[in-house]
Amino acid sequence: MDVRDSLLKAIDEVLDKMVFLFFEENESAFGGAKDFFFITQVEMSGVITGTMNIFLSEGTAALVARNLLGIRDEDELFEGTIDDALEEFTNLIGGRMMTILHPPGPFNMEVPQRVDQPAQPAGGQSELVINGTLEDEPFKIRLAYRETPT
Amino acid sequence: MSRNIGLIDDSRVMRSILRKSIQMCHYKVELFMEAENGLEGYKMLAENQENLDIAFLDLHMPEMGGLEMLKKLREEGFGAVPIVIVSASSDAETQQECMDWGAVGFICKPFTPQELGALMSQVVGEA
Repeated sequence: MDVRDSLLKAIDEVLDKMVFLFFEENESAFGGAKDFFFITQVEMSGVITGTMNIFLSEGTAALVARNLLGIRDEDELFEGTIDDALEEFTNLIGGRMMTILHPPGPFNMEVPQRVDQPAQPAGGQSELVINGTLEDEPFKIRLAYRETPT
Repeated sequence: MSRNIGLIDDSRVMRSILRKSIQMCHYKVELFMEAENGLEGYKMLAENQENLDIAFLDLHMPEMGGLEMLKKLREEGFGAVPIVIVSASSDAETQQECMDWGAVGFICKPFTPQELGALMSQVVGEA
């Protein structure tokens, strides 16, 4: 499975199995990073080496955190809890993508973090952007990567 | 019937997800014992051989990974607690190595509460 298909499959599986939401791909691009409330970033290396960012609106960030952790609507959701949940959400998607990439191979992922601005792609990296919606709110994943020489 | 369940994972969020998933499967839990790295987890399992009904163990952790812990527990005679390995990897070779060292199950992330519940019912019986 190529990188794009692996990433799409990872998004669908994590959302379906652990967040109970449906992702709808929509190639009409949303705005830049400034239009998103929440951005996470993780570095990964293995069959590919690169950086993945996930962009979420404020509402989607809260919804993903609540669903992932099973926090009821009537219970308070703290910002630190959203940060922790979205970092794990990023870890789940990145880890699953690296697992289903073909050819398979061992991989390493750094600890995901919330960032103000995504890292710019380095020279020689390919950039893959997947735009879509979660519950009618914008959701975007960007992967800047290069294939690791064998 | 209430169970005592061990959760060994360096991610606080993943421990919460495991707790939530177990409760969604209607298991009554007397006590969740938790550890956030391999060394703490090893100590917890070694000291609670008679108390824990099942433990979920992350494969990749700081201090001591899940497979290393599994080997150490078995080599030192602490084999009483059924251990389920939790991992992002679905690699068959890794799964087999974990089973060879005494793990009773392997669950790949992402998982549904139903998948976790099915595995639990095999190990500790129905909720």
